[in-house]
Amino acid sequence: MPKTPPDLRRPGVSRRGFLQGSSVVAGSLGIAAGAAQAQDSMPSAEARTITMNVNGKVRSLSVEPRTTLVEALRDTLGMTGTKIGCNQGQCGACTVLLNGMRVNSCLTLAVMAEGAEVVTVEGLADPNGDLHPMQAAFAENDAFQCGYCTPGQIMSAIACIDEGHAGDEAEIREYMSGNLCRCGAYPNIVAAIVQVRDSQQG
Amino acid sequence: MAQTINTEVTRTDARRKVTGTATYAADETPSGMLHGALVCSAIAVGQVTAIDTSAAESEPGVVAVFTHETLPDYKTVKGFYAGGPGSSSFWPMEGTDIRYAGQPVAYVVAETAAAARRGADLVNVTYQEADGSIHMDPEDSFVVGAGEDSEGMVLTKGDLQAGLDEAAQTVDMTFTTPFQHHNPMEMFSATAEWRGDRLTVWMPSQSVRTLRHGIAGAYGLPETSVRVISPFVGGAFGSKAGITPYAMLTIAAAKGVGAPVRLIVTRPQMYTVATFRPESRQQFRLGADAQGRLTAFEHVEIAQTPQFGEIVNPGTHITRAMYACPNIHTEQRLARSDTNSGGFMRAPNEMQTFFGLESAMDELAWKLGMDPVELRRVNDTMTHPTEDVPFSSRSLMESYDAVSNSFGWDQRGREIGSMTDGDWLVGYGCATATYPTNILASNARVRAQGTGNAYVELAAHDVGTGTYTIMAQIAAARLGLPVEAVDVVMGEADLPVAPISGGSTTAASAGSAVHDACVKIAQQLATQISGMSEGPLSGVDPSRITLDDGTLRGPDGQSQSVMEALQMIPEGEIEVVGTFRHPALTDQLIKATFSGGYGTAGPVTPEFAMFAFGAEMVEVRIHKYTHEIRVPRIHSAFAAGTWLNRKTAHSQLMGGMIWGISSALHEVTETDKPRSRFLNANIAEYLVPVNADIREVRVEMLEEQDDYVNPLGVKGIGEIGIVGTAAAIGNAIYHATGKRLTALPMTISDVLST
Amino acid sequence: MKRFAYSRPTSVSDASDDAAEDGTQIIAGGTTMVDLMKIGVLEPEALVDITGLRDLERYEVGADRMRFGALAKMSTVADDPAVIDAFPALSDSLWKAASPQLRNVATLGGNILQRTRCPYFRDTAYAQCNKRNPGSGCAALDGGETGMHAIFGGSDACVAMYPGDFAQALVAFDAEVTTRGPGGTRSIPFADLHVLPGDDPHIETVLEPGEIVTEIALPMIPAMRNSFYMKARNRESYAFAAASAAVGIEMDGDTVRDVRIALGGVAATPWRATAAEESLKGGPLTEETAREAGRIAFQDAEPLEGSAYKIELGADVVAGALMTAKSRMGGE
Repeated sequence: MPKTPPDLRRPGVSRRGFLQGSSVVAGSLGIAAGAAQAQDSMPSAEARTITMNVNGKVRSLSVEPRTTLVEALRDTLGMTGTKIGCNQGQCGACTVLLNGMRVNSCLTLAVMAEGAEVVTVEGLADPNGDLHPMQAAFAENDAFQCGYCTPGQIMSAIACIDEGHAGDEAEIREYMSGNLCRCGAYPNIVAAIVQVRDSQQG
Repeated sequence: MAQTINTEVTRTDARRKVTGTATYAADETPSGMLHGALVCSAIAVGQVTAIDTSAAESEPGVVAVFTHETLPDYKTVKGFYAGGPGSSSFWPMEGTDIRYAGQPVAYVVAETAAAARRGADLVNVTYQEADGSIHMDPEDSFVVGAGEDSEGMVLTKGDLQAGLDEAAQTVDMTFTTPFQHHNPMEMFSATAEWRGDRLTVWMPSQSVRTLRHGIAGAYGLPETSVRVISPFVGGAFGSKAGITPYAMLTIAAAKGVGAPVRLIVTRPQMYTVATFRPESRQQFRLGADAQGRLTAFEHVEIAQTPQFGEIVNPGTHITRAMYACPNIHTEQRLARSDTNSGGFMRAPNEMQTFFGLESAMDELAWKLGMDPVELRRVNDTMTHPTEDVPFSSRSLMESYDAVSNSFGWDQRGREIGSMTDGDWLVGYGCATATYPTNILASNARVRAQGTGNAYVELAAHDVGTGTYTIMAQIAAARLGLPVEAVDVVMGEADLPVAPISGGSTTAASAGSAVHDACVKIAQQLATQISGMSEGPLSGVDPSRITLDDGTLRGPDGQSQSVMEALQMIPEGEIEVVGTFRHPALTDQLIKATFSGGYGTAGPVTPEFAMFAFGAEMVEVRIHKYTHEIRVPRIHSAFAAGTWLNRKTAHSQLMGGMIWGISSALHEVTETDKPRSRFLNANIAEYLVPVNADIREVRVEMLEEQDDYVNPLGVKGIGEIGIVGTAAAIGNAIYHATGKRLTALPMTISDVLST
Repeated sequence: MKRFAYSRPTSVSDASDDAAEDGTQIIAGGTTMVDLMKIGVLEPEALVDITGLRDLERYEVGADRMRFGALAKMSTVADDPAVIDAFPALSDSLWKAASPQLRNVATLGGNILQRTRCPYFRDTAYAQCNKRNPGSGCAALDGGETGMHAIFGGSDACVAMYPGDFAQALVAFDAEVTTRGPGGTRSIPFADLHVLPGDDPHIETVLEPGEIVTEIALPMIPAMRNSFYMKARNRESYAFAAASAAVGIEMDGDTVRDVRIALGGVAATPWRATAAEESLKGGPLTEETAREAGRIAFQDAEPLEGSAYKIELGADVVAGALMTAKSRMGGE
């Protein structure tokens, strides 16, 4: 049975607030201040406010300890560019850069990203709309079909070059193997990465 | 005007996909939305005897827990294979029956996804368990349908035994293929929002109209009261075509709580709440004379089906179209086991059946001492072997010749085990691919504006196939516009009728409707401008004005561009609905498509047999110590009529070939037999290739003209890429090792001691 | 996922105290912990996040010893030229595991404590799993699928396989772990860290409640430099081993002076193949002796119905790893 009669559970202020309103506070809170605040709090399963730098903007948001980074991005911040493909760290669709390192945001607890810098696919293009070279190379090389794994592939591809693991095609293939593509765009993904790597070197 | 057809065009939705702004169904969050979670059964067969929801209901954030007893206004539909829109003909949560493991038994609604999932963990279900079997017993099989020869399920031509008796060489081989799951990267989801009697559903779909028709019918609502929205689909491969129980449960739950509800099915649950590729057994007996000409051809396919439905994807209909032979016998059989309904998964029968057929052909070539390519050549035919009609076009041997050249087939060692490279054994293998050209009715609305724009609208889908782009290309080519000047709107049920995106049909059928709309625009324009007092085509008999890709041409060399002509008419634009009604489409088939079903004609019509063809060659390497099987090279050539977009078509064919590698070497849904469960229900242990598995992939796209299939001359290419791959790999393994592998996938444990 | 309390102490002693509480688990990279919590296999009341203990990220490759803080990341260590030079098998065992994303957060300490991939352990729909629910039985042994189960070290209660790669490099080369617990600091030979399932498969290590692995250290030995980790798997990357071997050799001319062999993908715990090592010492290393060592390594295997192939495969992988290590010695 529904715990509460349906007619009393109309979309209401409290739930809307929980989902969309009060939890997102665009603020200028310093990262250090946020970190200190978290450390002072007693261990608890209740939601708490954390601060992250997401795509260059400091964001304060309310999360439970169990909230994963990808849930915080998608459900709390409404940034749905990052995709969930398995929610178990097995597919790489949720890859974001956390303090410059590519990680699976579905296995990262948001509370553990307190004070971190997060870059998602939404943070790549210039404010004036110019695509990041990796985005442009993916488009040009048809490095996707359905596009669902693409945000994660692109974040991973950028990191692959930054880490120095794009030396040759075999190395790119190995170091892009944490991102499944069910459509089978792998050769085109490698071609896109080679193109960006070469343009950066040239 | 740059060429827009048969060239490489970057996807029109590329920018949205690389910036994360392409909106997949689960990216939509209606105001006040709650989150759903499924509770799935721990047993495979039996009864639910009790469900204790108290702990779940006490969990913070949980709003409601619905069971078969408490879910209000839950509706079901008939299954696809029984002529309905459903993914299954058995519906969970209608009562206490459990028919398969992982069947939904309760539905939790909560304020967050995490709370919903936790609530689902806390629902305590008690069962009475009965015996079941997840695997079919092939010895207990039956022919589909009532009659001996229902719809060609059993077919006999000539005298099979006589053909075997007269053969110089015969093969008698049985192959098996496992359960497989589509595993699109996008998880299944459904979001439902009721506003009074109006319902909106966001759900990744290969057929928004099937969804709308079925849902509206189930609730007794006019179709205008139901919106189904699916602008982007994160891969489907057959898994997102029908109305699933999880969708209907979500629709009912949203009604029950009086708020929008979104369900994201977990990856493990994706293995049981929708369809899959049924396991199968493929039995072949072939006979050939000393020159390799087939004298006997027998194929018996036994495919798994659930206890409550008959899932038949008739593979024998395709294998018997392949090679000339006077004596043919085929049987399409099913055997039951305790699973949810299987369905269609990319090349739904061709993957399995061509693994068998093309492995058996390879074995026959070795027995005959023939080059396997030559064996295909002597058995090539321009007439359908059992239907007595010519192929509308068939470029099989052209494909073999092209791929042989690309691959370097002449470098293949003659003997088994004759090729090595360091610690690797090397083998080459080849196989034939084919896919039927299925025909469906379609409409499309096109509005062309003299300002240099056009709008194309139809209820088709881009499941990653490039449909947005090719629809724009077709309109752009016909109207003389750049591709980026054409806006394409799809993925909504309200749009003009287009078929299910399945069976490699969208480009051919829906594309032909777009083409037809442009032709109609030209005809209307011709009538209007020929009646005007000025202009290059003034006074010309409009019936003699033709459309030549962007230009209207009169009989005497007069011409005017479509855009200029549009500027001349007072409206400045024309909007029409184009149609595609191939002569082979009966009224009944058209009616089926227009009511949300799959009204397909072909591949055999009274005049022609319509198939695309191709050939694949692979190099396989098997490591001396790890016995790992790798595919460093896979080449192919395909002929499938007109290529609309060489870039996206290449991606589709390549993706299909990679699916073939996956089926050959990786994919299997393992089972726990005592408890009748799928065992590796995740995407770590259910292996699909990673980037490192895929090395050189080369695709030759041959030119082929076929004026019969449709006005565009397009055959489908979504599935053919997968068809020959598994056999080509198995044949290469044989060439490398002398081991003939007959079960998919082919893994390390199969090639030990080599 | 069950709700849990979360704390992030900044000292090892605080962390140890917190972690000693009932129902508490330690989290570092989280790649195992969050995964198992999501699927309901682990349901801690509280998590102690030790990633604030930044000192534990340090590591060094010294002349006599390699020392790795427990929070050093897999990717960092795998890519370190000093590690690759001094002990290639260690780097191999790290980069051939998991994915780049996972290696970027997974720590060495967490890696050695990773849990089995046994599908019956990982799916709570199976009532039987002695590891997950002591005394409930073993679904794998009750007619289940056993192709991915242990052929060494299993018991009547559990045949789950230890899935790790890195641990094979550690166990073959006499690693030690240092821990800090409520009772203080102690040192444990790596070979003694994991315990066989026996009758109590839910107990996987000798670690006490609140005891935190702080460091993993190895003595530098000559065989490290000529070492290799060979991993056989049905997918080229991002897959668990069907069988693997970490080996290292030290040659005196044509004679094997020292050799180390450990086996992955086949045993209930990290598994050293001592008898195979002994068979090679003092003799030549040839294709023949390498294959014989592989056979010896698996002579006491106890395969289940689905896992017999691992005997032949594992033996070949041992031989292949040895021959690869030898071939890589080259002109050195």
